[in-house]
Amino acid sequence: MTLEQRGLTTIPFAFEDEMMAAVASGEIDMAAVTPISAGWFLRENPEFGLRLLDIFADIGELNWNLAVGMRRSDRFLRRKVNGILEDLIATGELAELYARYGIAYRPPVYRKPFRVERKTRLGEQECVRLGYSRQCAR
Amino acid sequence: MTKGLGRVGSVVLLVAAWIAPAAADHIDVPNLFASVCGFCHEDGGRKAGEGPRLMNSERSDEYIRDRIRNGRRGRMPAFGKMFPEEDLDEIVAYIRALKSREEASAQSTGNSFRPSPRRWPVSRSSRAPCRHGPSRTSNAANALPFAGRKGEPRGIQLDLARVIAERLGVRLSVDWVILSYQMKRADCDIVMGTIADREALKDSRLKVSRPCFRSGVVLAVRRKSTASPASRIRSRPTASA
Repeated sequence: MTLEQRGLTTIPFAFEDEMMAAVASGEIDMAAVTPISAGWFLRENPEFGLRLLDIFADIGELNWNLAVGMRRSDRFLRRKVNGILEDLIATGELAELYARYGIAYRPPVYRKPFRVERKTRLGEQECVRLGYSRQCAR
Repeated sequence: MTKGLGRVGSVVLLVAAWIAPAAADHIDVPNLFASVCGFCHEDGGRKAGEGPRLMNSERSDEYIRDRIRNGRRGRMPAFGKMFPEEDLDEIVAYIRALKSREEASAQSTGNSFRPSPRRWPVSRSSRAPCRHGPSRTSNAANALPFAGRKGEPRGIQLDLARVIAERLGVRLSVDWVILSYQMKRADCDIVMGTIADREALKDSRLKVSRPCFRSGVVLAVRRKSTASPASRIRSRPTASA
């Protein structure tokens, strides 16, 4: 939609790999794709001679964060998963995981970053409670 | 399902860009038309857009099914990998039941389309019910780098889910979901690759963890392309400007 508003002709595709193959064949000039699919495609198909341009970083509607979804009732699980993700990001393990598939890690962007607030004890398992904080600058 | 971490965790694969709030037990065709199909078939298929008007279409059911499955290069995406036969039935039924807004409001019955709730057939997918432990099938679905079932299951979402399950100390059972309405059928504990957007999650039954990756839109161009698409796009004023 945003690209159409800029006067460009857009053609619908269902799958990103088909889009990038169409760029390589010259059928279309460029493809608007996600960095994850694109990174993988370039790694698997270096002979296609494609490159990526990250020119929309400042357009909010064309960028979004990914997370792990959970049912609303699972507060305890959410705290645990938050702690695990925090650790994976801090140690660089998450970046390594993405790198295994040829994808440069892109840290999430958000206004109110999560931080570890305090530890609490629930039953016999200790968990790390995470929350938003205005004071925590990333 | 029981609460807490004592149960078996499970992971759902979603095509992240298509996550839309839906919690029905069947395919939510109106929601599908409000999002994916509606980009080209406007007003729920009542008006022509990039694609033709579908209301009162003279095309046969088989033609419509074939077009959804196989698409038409450059005009209509091929969704053959995504919809099972029953979902195609529901989509065709929706199209056949389409009435103009005026006609529909004149009828006291309201929306004439009533999809029939039904169970997801376990045998079709690689569904591994959360309560019955892990299982795998030989389905050839391949959505790498997110997750793939071809050969040894792997992918970013699966790898991350394995790490999470290991650190939680729970066993991992995996359900495979392609479209958001299938999520309810899977009834899993965690959903990988969820877009952390309040609006997108508004009507879903999901909360999200802290964000872990910044996704978005980048442009793929030919390496030897002499034109500069970036400047081309940047230099064009928006329609509203």
